[in-house]
Amino acid sequence: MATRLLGVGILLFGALYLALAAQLPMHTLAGPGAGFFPVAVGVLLIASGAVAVFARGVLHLEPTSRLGLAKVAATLAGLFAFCALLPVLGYLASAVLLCVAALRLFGTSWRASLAIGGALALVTWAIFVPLLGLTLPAGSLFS
Amino acid sequence: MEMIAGLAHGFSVAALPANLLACFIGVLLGSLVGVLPGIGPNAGMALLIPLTFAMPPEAAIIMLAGIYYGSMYGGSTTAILLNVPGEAASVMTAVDGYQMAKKGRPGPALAIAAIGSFVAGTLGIVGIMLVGPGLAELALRFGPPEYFVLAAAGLVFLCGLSTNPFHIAFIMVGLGLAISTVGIDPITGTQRFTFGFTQLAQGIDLVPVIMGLYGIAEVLTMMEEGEQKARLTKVRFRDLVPSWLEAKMSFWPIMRGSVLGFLIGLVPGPATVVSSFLSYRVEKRLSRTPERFGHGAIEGVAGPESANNSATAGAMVPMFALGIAFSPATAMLLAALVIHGVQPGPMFMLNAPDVFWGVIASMYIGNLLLLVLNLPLVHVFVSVLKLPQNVLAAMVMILCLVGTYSINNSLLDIWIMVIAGALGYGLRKLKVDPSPLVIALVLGPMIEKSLRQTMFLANGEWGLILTRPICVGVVAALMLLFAGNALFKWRRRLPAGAALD
Repeated sequence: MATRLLGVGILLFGALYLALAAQLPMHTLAGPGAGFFPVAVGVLLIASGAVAVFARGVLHLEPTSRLGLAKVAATLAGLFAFCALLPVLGYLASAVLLCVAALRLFGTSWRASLAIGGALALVTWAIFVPLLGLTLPAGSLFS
Repeated sequence: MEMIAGLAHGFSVAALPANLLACFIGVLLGSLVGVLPGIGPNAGMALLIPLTFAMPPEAAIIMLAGIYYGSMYGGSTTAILLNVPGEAASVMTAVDGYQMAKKGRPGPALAIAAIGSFVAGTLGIVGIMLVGPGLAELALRFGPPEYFVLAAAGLVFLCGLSTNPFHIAFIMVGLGLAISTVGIDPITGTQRFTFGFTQLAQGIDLVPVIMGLYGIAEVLTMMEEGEQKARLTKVRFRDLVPSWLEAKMSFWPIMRGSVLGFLIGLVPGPATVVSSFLSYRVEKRLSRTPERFGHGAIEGVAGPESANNSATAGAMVPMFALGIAFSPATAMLLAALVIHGVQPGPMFMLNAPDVFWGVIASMYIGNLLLLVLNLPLVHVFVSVLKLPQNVLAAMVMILCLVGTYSINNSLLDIWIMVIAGALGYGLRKLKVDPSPLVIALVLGPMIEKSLRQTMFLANGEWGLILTRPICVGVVAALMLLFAGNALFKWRRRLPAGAALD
């Protein structure tokens, strides 16, 4: 079942990819064009997806508890929220928020989560910005 | 003579205080990365690339290479003491190593693993010195058809040797190649699959993909599993000394493992995993008492541990000599070299002797440091497992995010990393190894460029490839591999009597 599902997913992705690749120029006067290789890759994706759909099932989805799955989904949501908040709140505030949320999901107390999250955000900021001279977003809200 | 002069120059570079420090930090972090289950050398190197930005290229590569081979040492520690292989390459070490620990002999198992790793690592470096320059000289004769056939055959080899079923590995390769086509076409300048995002024009970088597939996926797995406590075994320094018999029984497995590992390292694929598995099988087959295997045979620790260490050295040969990476870890080293403005390939040794010979010499020093660090400080490394998982998960997550952002100062890279993380987690649940995807992402641009150049040179005639001896050799080797594999499978399916007949 898992192998077939993966195969169907790849088949759909491959078809979409091939449709987009087919719009690129296939040939130029100087030889194969920008679409030549992507079209070949699209065909490869469709073929390998089709094999997975029709071949004997070799993959099995490892069972996950509902709670475990909810925690994974929440962490992923937190990471996406971090991406959205980073340009607005800047690195320090976004990192503290993400760490606290992740630590709370682990069942860490509020106090410990705030302490660990704050420390991690500050230490990484100190290493990357003053020490290594790299830049991290300051946040449009504060600048 | 040239080699000795090169190595002497390498030692003068590696012995500079800054490079010695980089080597020490690299092997120390490598050991820690190896001890921690899940966080392998790929994620470890990806996390630390931004820290090397301020370093000169030789120090940066010395440190990153140290993480790579150092992780193989660390991986065996938890495999022996806890039956938890820190690395996939240490799975075979756990089989007999843990049994030895249960029988009250964890010390000799750890000592033999460390000594075997040291010997194999050192022999592996000799192998790089012997094979690397010759291969680089040969590669000077390579044109686009050779590069195309070599890289494409490498991907097919990888699928054949991957821990995934062949067609699943092929799907991973397809995905990696598809990702590699995003961005401006380097030959015609046409934008491909950028969907109006200007940042995508430069293509999808390797680092966010690796950090997502390995680092973020590990964080998500930790989140799912929650807090897990490790029961640690105490090992005193004086318990580490193996008996004379154990040392004698380990000698040939270490030697065989070193040679086998190096040769497998040269071939595309999960070299460290395959070499340790094969070495275990070889030792069991050669043993007069194969029934001891699985119940604490020291040869079952010595062989695989040596093999996985020399495989790391073998895997560096195509990267240095051809500029081609056949494993995610060497892909990271390749990416780091490019970030630091050094182009690996046939001219690498001539254009950047400080980096090439400096790294080689540092590997001798690093292997010695690892031996010194890992034996007396084994309990210190194991105690790293006491670090609460919640803190570790938050730390890895933050380092991935900051590290990814700092490579190109790009927010898009973080989005890509998170998406790759979700994909990596899904693949873990399906027990699919993502390394063919990573290698295809690295090799994709080279395959495309050399294929198009070949088509241009040949005026569309594929027959050109068959007129080039190197191409024919590579294709023949590929066909031999598949024929051998098919024969092996056929013999395994036959009943025992029929096979003997």
